[in-house]
Amino acid sequence: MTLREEIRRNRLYFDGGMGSLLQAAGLRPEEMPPQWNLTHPDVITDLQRQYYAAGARVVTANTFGVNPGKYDADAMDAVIGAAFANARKAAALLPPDPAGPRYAALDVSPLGKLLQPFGDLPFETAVDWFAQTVRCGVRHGADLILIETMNDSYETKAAVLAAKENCDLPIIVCNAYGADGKLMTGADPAAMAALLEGLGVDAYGANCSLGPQQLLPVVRQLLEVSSLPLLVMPNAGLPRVEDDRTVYDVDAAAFADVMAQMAAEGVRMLGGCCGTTPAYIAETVRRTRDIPLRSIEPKRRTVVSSGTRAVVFGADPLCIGERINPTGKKRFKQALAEGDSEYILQEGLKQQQAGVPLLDVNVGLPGIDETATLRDTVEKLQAVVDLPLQIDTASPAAMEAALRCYNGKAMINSVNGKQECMRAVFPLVKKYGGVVVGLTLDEDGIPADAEGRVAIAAKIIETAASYGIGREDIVIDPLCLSVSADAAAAGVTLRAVRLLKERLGVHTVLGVSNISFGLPSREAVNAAFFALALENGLSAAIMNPFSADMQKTYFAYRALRGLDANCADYLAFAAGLTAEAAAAPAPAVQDLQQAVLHGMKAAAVRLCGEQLQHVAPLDVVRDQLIPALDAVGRGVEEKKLYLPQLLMSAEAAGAAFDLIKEQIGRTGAQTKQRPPFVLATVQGDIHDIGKNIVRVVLESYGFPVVDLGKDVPPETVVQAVQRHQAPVCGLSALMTTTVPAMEETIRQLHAQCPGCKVVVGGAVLTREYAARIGADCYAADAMETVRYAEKIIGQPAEKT
Amino acid sequence: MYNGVTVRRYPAAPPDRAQVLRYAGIRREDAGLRALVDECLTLSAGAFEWAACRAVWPLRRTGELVDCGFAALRSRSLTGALEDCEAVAAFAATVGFGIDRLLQRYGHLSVARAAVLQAVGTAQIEQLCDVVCAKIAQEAAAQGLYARPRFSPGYGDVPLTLQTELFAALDVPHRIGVTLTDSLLMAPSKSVTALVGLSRRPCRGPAGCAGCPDTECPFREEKKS
Repeated sequence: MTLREEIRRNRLYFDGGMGSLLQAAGLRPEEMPPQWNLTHPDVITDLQRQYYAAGARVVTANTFGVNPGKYDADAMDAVIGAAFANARKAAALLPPDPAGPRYAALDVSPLGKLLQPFGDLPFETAVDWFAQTVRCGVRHGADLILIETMNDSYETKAAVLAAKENCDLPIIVCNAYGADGKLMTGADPAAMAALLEGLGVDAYGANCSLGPQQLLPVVRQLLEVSSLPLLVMPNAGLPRVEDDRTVYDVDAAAFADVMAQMAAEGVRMLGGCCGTTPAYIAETVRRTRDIPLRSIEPKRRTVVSSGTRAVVFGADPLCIGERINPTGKKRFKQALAEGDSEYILQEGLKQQQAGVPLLDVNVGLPGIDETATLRDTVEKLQAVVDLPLQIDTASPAAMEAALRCYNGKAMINSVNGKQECMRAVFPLVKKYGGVVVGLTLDEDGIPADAEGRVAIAAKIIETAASYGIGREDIVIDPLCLSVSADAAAAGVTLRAVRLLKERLGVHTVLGVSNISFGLPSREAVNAAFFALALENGLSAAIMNPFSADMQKTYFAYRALRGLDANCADYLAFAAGLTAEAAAAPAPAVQDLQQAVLHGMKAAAVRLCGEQLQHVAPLDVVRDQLIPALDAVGRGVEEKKLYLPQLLMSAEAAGAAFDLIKEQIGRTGAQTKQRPPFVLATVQGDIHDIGKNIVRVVLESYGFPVVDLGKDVPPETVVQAVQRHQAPVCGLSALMTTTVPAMEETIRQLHAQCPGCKVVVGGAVLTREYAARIGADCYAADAMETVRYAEKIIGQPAEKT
Repeated sequence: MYNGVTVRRYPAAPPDRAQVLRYAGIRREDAGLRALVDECLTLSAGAFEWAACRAVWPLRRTGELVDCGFAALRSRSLTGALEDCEAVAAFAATVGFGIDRLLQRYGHLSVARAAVLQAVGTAQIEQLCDVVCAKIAQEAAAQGLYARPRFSPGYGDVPLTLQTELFAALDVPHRIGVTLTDSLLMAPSKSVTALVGLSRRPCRGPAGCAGCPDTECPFREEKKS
């Protein structure tokens, strides 16, 4: 039996702690344990011999923490080579194990760097570092890739991809869950299960961080959702220092007690982590070897995930926010064409606030590089929203780029019944994991009847199976066509929804608003159709979360169908409706200036709307917004007001300004097209709150801003300034270590964009320091930046 | 006493509102600010996971060279901070990743909230540092030693590159999940590393803000009598 088959069919024991035992043997804190493979090979071999003798079938080669970030190629080769030589020698010292061959796993562990955007390690660099480690382990005879102690879902994905792309060995992944039952970066067990099963690992589970008893709830959550064997390797409880020695508070007998409980509940593979010794493994083997194996039921869950949570398709219908899509949206198209990712992020955040559990992401627009734009959008969105994303594109290249960098198991929109399309999409679904939307159309078009659409769905499901994709990872969209063009359209689609569920047992999804195309008052038709589709068993709808009619239908349907215990969600939703209605007629202030002064955003927007009925847009800016902002700015300078108040005022004015811009766009009033202010936090710097503050204050004064984000390479800043012909560029840096990057950016800007002035700010800078590194101006705060922008670009509300 | 690295996770204490106001630069709250701060405290409730790791090394001096066990360097500030000390404790502490996610989100949604959340995070990490330092002082007292005020890489002329050695010595990424960027910034951002001198003699002179020469610092705490 191969190891892969053993993982699938047998109980397997792994080894226990290594680092903690090496410390007891004299490893100093500043020494890395893998170094002992070379300096103390006998100690390592003896420990591993003891683990094999205790009954472990797999020992973990002593390679924890070995990666190209810490070791050059030769050092890595030497230390990993020695690790496997030691493990093989340990096995050779013992008589054969009647249970089967003894194996050595390559230990793949966290890189010690956080991935972008929260840290500075690019995702593809992480994949590359893991890949080098994996190739080195394979060269030295690893039997299995054990990715362990991972506390971040995104880094876990990088490691799994590297293993899949560089070897055919079995892959097992163990994550380190905290006391809150989540990874450090927030993923819960269900989210990790979705990600890892999607990526096609052989087994997964949990290790380190907690003792067996505290790990039990995590293990139970994994058992509930998992269709794969689990590996659990807890710590020997919590460490404490006693008589100059680190001791753990769970002894071997107590440890094995809980391990026996886990085995009885269905955990297949058992081992230990920090603080456990060969005695713990021996006791665990003794206590569990006669516990019968429980069969692993395939759970057949249709599940997608983000970096923190899983979303499951079931009886309770799901809404998928449709607003990140340029179709029919002029402002969105403009944002895409200008590379204005801030606008797109706002669309995502607003939909999350509106309560949808999934977001569709479509950035297809003629003339843009869809692959780069989709990847960039997915990377930025997943850093700020918690929701799983639906990658929506017709381009396989863009789909792959987005799926690769996506932190989770994505929903994929879409595949259809055309052979060519299935050939392009299914390999991506298989490699990266995902739930794919299957459209019921093929080479012959869209069948006019429900049966025809069901037949195409059956073909899609069958073809997917030949790629090893289960039907639980397919959701069928039977397509809805406009009822104004064909009176039977709604009936056919509704019947198809019902048949798909009854005959094929698959989940369904619809872009419901297509139904009303060409009709007036579309929301009424959409909401009625939505209700009908739900009653016919629709699993998910791609819809507008800001449509009150759709929301009302959704919450009312769930209450009526008994999907909302005690109507709790409906009551909360209805309370929100009443609060909105009550708040509207009673503004707390009557005057736009006052609203901005007091940072009242909703009031500012409403009062600005009223003003625009009878006052020219630019007069509102000049006579109301700017004086109010100036007053707040003066208050801050005089220390009568504080920064958060300036920011609330800036947010209120900014929201009013958006309305004014819309009005100008509608009326086509002639305004001077003002060049933008380019803003960036320099390369190497990941703290951008100061830069964000400057952006918001500049925007509140009506300056167009191109915000390049944080950790921005000098070349990117130069390109943006050239592209937008920006007369001024603002750079921020927090630490002395990132000022050299600022200096280099200024040097390149001055060399290549001689017309552009550079203004800098940040905690470590002073006026003198700024001058020394070549900046044209130093701004101590956001208001100083505004004054400088006025000097260079001109007063905001100037007319032509 | 020199027994390897102690790792601990602590239940996060609720943020100290007065400190949040101080770090947000708010000297007097009106109704609007009160509502904003309350909202941010609610938003960040449950976002904090306190963890710290620490170890103690014997301190040696050879001429101007200060040897902290895990790193040796010449630094006037460090020499001053560790005056009369025979050992040095080093620690790394973090209030976790959750606040970074909030800061990232509110950097786009509302910078006013981001600015206050930032202050909540700072107040939290300072609270945790106080807890860790109290623990260090308590253990030192059992050995007849007094703990000096904490002192971080980057203060005075102590180079930020000391972070690299401190991170390796305490194995910080593995133990508490804090990582170092190439530019030596810590991620998660609300994290602190520091040294604490341990001496046979009690500390002389004022500690905290009162002992700091930067009288123009916007966060300086006025001594209330």
